[in-house]
Amino acid sequence: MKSKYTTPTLPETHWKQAFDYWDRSSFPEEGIGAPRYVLLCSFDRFVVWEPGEFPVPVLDRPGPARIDLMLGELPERVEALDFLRGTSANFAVNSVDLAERAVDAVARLYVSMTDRGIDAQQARDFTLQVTWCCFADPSASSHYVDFLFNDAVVHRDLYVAVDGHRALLPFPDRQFEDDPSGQQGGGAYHVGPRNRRHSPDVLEWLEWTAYRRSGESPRGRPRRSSTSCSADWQSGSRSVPRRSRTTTSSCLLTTRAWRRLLTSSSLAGATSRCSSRPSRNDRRRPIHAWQPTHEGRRTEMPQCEVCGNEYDKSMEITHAGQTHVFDSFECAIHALAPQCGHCGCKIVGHGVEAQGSTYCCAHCATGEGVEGLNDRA
Amino acid sequence: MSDHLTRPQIRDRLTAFVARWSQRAGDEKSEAQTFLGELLDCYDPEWRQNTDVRFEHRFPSGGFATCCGRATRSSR
Repeated sequence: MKSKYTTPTLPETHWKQAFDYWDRSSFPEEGIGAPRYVLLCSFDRFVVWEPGEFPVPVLDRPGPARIDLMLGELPERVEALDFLRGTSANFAVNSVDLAERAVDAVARLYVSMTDRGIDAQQARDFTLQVTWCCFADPSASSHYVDFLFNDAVVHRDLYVAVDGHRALLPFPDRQFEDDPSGQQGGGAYHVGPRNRRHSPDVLEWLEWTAYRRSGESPRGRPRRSSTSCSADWQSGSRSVPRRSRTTTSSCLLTTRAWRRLLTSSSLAGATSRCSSRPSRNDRRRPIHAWQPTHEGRRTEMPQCEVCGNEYDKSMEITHAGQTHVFDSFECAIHALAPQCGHCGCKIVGHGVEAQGSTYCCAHCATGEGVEGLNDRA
Repeated sequence: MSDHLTRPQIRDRLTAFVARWSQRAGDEKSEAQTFLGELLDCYDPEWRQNTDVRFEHRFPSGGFATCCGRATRSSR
C-alpha cells in the first residue's frame, strides 16, 4: 500500500518492494507457498500480479501485471479482486450485460436466417460456426462460452479477454480496446476495425472459411451461398432464394425458444434444453464435416498432435518407427526436427553432426569446439 | 455462517467505496488500514474472522507488508 501521490509510477517504483515481501513469505522447503496474488495499491490505482505459489528469483522485474485499474473502474471489474473474498480472481471481463448482448446477437442472427427461409438446421450450424469463429481469434481467449456448451444454450457468464482488455460483442464488428503494447492480433479470424479486409462481409468470409476447412468449397473468392447471411443481417435485408422450410429438428433451441429468449427480459429461460434426438425426417446436410455431430461427438478427422487442429489435409510422418499426424509442416518441424546443439534453432535442412550432436551449420559446431567442419570447401 | 454477497451487492458496495475514497487524501500511514478494511468489507463482510489476515505483517528478515492474508473464505 502506497500513498496516493505515487499513483503515476506505482508499479515501476514499488514492484521491487512488493515482490521482495512476496519472495520472503514463502518457505518452499516446508511446503509453504507465497501468496498467490500480489496487490500493489495507491488508493486510486490497483496493480495485481499472480506470480505463482513458490517464488522464483525475480531479478529484473516481474512479468506483466494481471490487471492495472483505477479506483473508479473497480465496480465494473469486481472479479479482478475476487481473491479478497477467498476465491480465484478473474482478470478478464465478466459482464452479464455483455453476455446478454452477445446471446441476443446470436439469437437475432439465427432468427433472421430462419425468417428468410433458411433451413433451421443449416441456420443452427452456421450460427454455431460463426460464433466459434469469433472466439478463434489468436489474441483472444474465451474461458467460459457456456451459452454454447454441449449444443445447448446455457446462459451463465461470458468472459472475453483480449490480453486483459475488453472485447466488445456483438459481432461482426467486434471491437477491441486499444492494446497499449501495440500488438495486434492479425490472425486469420481477427475481425473488426483493425482488420477491415474482413469486416465488410465477415459472415460471408467466415462461412467461406468453414467451407474451405471442410474441403467442399470451390477455389477463388468467397462465394455467396444459400446459407449466406452476410448482407446486412442485422436488418435482415438480403435476397436469399426463399426455400420451403424443412424439418426444424434441432438439438439447440427451437425457433420458438429463440424467440422466447429474445422477448424475455431475463435470459434464464435460455437454459432450457431441447431434445437431442434427431427427427425421423431429418435430412440434414452437414455444412462442415468437423462440426460436432448431433450427439455432441466430432466426426472422425485427423488431428494434429501439436496444435490439435482437426484438418482433412493433414499428413502422416513416420519417424523412428513411429507415425505422427500433423496439419502442417510447421507443426511437424516443431515436433520432429532436431535442435541445434549450439543455437537451439530447429534444423530443417541436413545440418551437421559431430561428436553425437547435431548442429545447424558449421559455425555452430565450431562454437561447441568441433573442428574440421566448414560451410564451404 | 454468513451469507456471501452476490455480485450486484459487491458492486453496489464498491460503488459507495469508490465515491468515498475518491475524496480522501490517500495517505499510506494514516489511511491504509482503513482503506483496506473497507475494501475487504465490500467483498466479504466477515473477513475479520479470517485470522490469517494481518495488517502491517512483519517479516522476520525485516520490513512490513501493509496487509497479508491467505485466501480462505471466512465461512462455508
